[in-house]
Amino acid sequence: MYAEERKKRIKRVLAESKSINVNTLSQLLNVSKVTIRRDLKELDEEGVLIKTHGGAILPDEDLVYLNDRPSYENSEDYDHGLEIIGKIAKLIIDDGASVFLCPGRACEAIATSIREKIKMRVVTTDINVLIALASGDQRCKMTVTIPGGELDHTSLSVSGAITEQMLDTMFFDYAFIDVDGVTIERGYFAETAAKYSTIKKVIDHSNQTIIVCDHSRFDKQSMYHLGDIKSFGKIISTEKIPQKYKEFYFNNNIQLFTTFDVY
Amino acid sequence: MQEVVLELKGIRKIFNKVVALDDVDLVVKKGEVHVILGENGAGKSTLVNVLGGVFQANSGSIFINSKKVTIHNTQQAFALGIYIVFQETNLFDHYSIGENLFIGTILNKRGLRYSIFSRINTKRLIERAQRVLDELGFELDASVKVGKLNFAQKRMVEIARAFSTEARIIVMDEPTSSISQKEKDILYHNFNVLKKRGVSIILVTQLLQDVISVADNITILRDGVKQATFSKDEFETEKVIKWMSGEDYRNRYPKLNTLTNKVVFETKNLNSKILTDINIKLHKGEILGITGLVGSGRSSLAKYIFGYEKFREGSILINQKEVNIKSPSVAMKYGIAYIPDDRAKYGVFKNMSILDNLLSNQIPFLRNILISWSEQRDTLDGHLEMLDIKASSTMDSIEILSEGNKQKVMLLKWLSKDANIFIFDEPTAGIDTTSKVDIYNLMADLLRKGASIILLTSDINELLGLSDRILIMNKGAIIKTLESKDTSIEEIYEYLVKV
Repeated sequence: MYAEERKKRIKRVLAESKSINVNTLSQLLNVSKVTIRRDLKELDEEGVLIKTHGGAILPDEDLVYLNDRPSYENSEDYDHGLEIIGKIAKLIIDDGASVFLCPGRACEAIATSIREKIKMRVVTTDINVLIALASGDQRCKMTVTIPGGELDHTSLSVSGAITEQMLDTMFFDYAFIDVDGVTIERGYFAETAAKYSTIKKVIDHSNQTIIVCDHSRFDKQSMYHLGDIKSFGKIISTEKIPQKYKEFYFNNNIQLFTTFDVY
Repeated sequence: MQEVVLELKGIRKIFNKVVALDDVDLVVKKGEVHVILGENGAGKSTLVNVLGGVFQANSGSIFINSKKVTIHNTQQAFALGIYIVFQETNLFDHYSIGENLFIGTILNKRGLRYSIFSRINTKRLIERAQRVLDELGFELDASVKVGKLNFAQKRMVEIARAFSTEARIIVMDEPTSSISQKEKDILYHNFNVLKKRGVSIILVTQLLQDVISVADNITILRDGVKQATFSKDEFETEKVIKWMSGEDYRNRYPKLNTLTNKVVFETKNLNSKILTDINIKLHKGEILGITGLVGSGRSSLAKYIFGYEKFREGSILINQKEVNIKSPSVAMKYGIAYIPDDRAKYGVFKNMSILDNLLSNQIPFLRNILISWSEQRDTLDGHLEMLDIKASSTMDSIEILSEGNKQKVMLLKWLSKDANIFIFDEPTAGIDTTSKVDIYNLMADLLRKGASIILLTSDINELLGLSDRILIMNKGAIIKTLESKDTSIEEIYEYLVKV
């Protein structure tokens, strides 16, 4: 089947079902997943659809913000990196632990990876994380808590005084913090005031804070300062993290996990 | 004040960005035994090699009797009165002990080569050698061919050779690592004889016992940095262990909770010439750390498991089934991978391309027929990129790569196989920090996907940071099993050096 013909069929399928995943398309059209991903990428560039983690959806006015994301964040590499970050996080958390997942795509990936666990308590302020927890094949059996608060429509997360009051009543074994910028000189950053204040509160209420972010966040600074580079002892990032960070973390007794996936 | 015979000032040696010696100072006095103490990789052997002219320091100076000297090779060192007994024995197997004993002096005096012995009265030579050996109290027959001796006896010949020279400074790199207690006592006794003659001895060792028995002064090295110099009266075990071991850095290693209770590999009562009663169990998702000093049998164990050598008795079980690993290719068939410590000797094929190195353990006909060559090359090029291996393509010669990158290529080679039991022997020795971090994360990738690892290392932080359990070996036996989370650097050192 020629590429153009495949693309036509993908459009038709998508028009009927509004969203579709790579696996289904690959079976339906009897071509490899790699080919499907390439087709979806091209159709995405043509503006016909929006490529998502593992599939595609029809463009929708409410979802327009997705297109504002930098191109790396729409790439397969990015999705793959996040998926491995999720798998690594799962192997850090002990059974029975209480876990906070902060707003962000990396924490969404962690949610996807841990949603089948039973003996775990998860707290999140991000509705996307919540959806990720709930969208497994089986019903999510762990205890999930969402603090109340005001919803930010862009990031779909709750924040503010009420949220923080509720976080004050909790304590976590692990808090996963999705940061927006890291530099060796200044440390870690969050992009919005809402994210900053939630994270600050959570750090004070956790035994272990783990930084999760893909390599594109390194050597970038944003407005709200979360702490210097030595303030956190565990980092999970993608394998393309700049070399100087690998060296710096190792020499400063900080644990760095990278997402190698070669075995 | 005793006369200073040797002084090193600010000796610095760098190998591929790795600092092996970091501005090391050393003062050796006439007629003293100066012990250089430190763990594997502390920089001790590098220091010996700088003294022997094998390596040239990047900076710093050497003074002999207050005169600045440069040493380009061992002959030059010898001319300056320095005799070095290296770790590897350096004898001619086909000649007798007697001939070996005097070969250095003969060569130096007459400048002759291999034909020399025909012109020398061998009988008289052997008689003279026998007198030297008897004087030293070594129970060796000077007429026996060196090839018939065991390793410990060869060491004794080397030592006798050092003692029979006119050297004023004798440097010995771990002479006691593989000899018996009785031989050690003889050695220590002879140190005293030499001292009286005004000869200075630099004894490089990992063992506290050596220090306590013979040292006048002690210098401790760690990570290429001098930690302390003090006299034997100032010796305190606790302090010394602290200096040797350094800070606890175990938290920096990417350790995941992958351990399960399923036993995938087991040895039962393995015995061989070197090993005694080795019983180990390896679980799925586990890193089993094994450490021990030079000569503890650690590396031999790896070679036995991988089928390089045969056991005298005992059995190996993989997934609860007994197997007969009679060669490396059988080991590979059972899913065992071995990443050796000596990349130059066992792992890397120097004159081949990166690609050929990567494919060197694939079965040839499979490689040619089943695997689409170019497709595989693309994947491998992708892997190289991911691992930050700086080469324009897999067709480049492997020699252009740094040690760290060579090690990553070695690893990749095994990743394309169906191995699930990985034996790593000193995986990060002598490689740069970023490559280390990559290798640790590659190990984490293996474990995440259900593999198990046997990690042989002398880096105690690495051992503590990565292992679930730690086995300590000495003289071919496992002398202690520790749970990583319940132990400390100090405890491991106590088992290691207090033997």
